[in-house]
Amino acid sequence: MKTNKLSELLKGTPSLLLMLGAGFVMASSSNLQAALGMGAAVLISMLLASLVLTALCKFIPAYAQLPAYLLIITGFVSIIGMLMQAWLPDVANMLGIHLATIAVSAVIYRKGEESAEGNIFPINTALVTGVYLTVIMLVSALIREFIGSASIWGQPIEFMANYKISAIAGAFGGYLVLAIVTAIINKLTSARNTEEKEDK
Amino acid sequence: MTFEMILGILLASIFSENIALVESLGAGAVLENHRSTKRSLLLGLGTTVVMLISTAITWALNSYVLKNVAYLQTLVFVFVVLVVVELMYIAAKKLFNCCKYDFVMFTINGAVLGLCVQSAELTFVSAIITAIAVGIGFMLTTTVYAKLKDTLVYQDAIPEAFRGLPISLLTAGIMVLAMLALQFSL
Repeated sequence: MKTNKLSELLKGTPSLLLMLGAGFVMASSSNLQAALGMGAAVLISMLLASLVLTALCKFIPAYAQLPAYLLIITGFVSIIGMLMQAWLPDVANMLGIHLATIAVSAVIYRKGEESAEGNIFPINTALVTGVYLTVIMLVSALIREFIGSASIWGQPIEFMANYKISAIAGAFGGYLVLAIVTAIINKLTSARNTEEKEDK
Repeated sequence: MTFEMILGILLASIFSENIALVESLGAGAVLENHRSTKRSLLLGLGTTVVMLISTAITWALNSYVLKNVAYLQTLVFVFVVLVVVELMYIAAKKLFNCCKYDFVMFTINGAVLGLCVQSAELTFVSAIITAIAVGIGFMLTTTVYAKLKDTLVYQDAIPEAFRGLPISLLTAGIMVLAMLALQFSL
């Protein structure tokens, strides 16, 4: 029963949401600290935006939905950015401009839109999506930091120093690693779907 | 500003520092694009216009109004982009039979906001040249990616797990590699 609920909440998440959020997922997955910082920022902004949009959707006329939603989301992202600058300046500097651009990320906008459209579990879907994106970012960051920079959480790994592939830590590596990670998810998802069909 | 500097900004913004794929600010917009090559070209052209107008306005606002309230930068810049896109939509609706969704995509595009934030620190002339160059780079990327995506119709030749998003990401990655190759030859 729990599995079914989770699949329902994750419906459409793996491919579509990763495609929409590919920008910030790749930008922040070059190291673990940045990935965790971005993951937290995405998760908190998604949760807060879902809460507020669910509460305010009835008062926002249809023609003003896009600007209203975007400005609400941008407000939260700005607050998170300021808090990060104050408490985690290193992570904020690592994320740089990408932290601000999550305000106009299609993934957060669409989740907010879903909440406003009367989704029954807006907080749950926002939470699941945020956690899912954070896990993807962390897995990609772990691979990229280990192979591309021969380190984990900024700590150098001695035996990898002579074998590191710098390109993996760069832009190309982001696409390559994310492609492999999504391919693995596709494989696991299709295997599970086949099992479920066989059970029926 | 010398000719070499202008050429440098143009080449860097179009290829080696392409905002859409290399800096991955507009990666979502490029990967999500399912339009034909011709419509992708129009989308890129529209984005270039939005980038140019938004950069000019946000540069002026950042230089003269937001000096003491820097924390409002993101909020004001998003608002400017929204207004520019809405005015363009009103104008385009009268001239062409256009789709509202395309205009939504101009707004929900990290490349536009990212460019506005990056250009705010430059001189006005540099900001305008950068906006044009980045716009051309985005247009080129969207169009080439749409054309490449058309060739991916032979999905049977691709392993099942790599169909869909993974192969799209690999295609974009190869484009990035080609763009970065130009960084070293310049």
